[in-house]
Amino acid sequence: MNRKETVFHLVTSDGEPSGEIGLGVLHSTAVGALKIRAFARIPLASYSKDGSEFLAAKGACTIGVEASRPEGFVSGNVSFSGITVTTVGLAIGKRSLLPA
Amino acid sequence: MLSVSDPSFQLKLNELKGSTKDTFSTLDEILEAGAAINVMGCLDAVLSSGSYWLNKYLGSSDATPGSILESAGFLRRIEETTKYKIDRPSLAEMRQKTATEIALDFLFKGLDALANWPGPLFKLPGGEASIVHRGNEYGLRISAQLRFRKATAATARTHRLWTSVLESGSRVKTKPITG
Repeated sequence: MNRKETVFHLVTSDGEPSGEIGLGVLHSTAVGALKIRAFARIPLASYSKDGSEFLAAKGACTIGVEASRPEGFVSGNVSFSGITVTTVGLAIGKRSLLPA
Repeated sequence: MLSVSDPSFQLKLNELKGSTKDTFSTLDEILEAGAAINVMGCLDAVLSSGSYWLNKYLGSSDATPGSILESAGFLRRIEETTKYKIDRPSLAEMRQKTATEIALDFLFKGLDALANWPGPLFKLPGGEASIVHRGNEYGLRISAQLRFRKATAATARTHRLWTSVLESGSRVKTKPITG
């Protein structure tokens, strides 16, 4: 059996009776104490007690990157453990980037 | 392919102490966060600890994540150092653009940086892979020498399938952003 960790994940709503199931990719790398995690998620289906719905063509994808380090960061009067940047409302389908 | 409504982004400072506002979703919010928090200063603090990664060469090219982000107008190299900081004047000019335009600018400037490098992106057995730029089109050029055994009916079907996948995915047509 191959026990090597995969970057591919099945993403679900944690313990909720309704939510979404999606396909996720998570890649982590470290540069010294700095940990960088790049991730992407494509929604596949939503589910609830009333049934499920296929989402891949209209659900919003999430692409993001997170940088953090154990001792955190300080800037002026504020401190924080890391930074996360994610896309919002990036859906597959509907409009092409290519010229007609 | 993108959605009809323009996509946006969210920037979050995790476990923030010293200020109450930790989430920002527009460039204006980041540039004009006010006296309570200097978001640009926070980003510079993260960048200064990621200098090694920003200066790592991509494949066999002389492009680095830092040089691509610099050509896209997000970062500026601090003179006579290998460190980068946020390019504030350039970001201020990006206020005129939509999030999609900024993302596409970033994509094509990154491709441009890789296409302008005369060497291969990475080597392959008997060949190489590189980004090519012709007119307003970018593409991936792959050359390799592979030895195939005599095909059975099953392997011939697989070969035809992969050939069609490579042919359909090897060219990225672009349209310049205007306005």
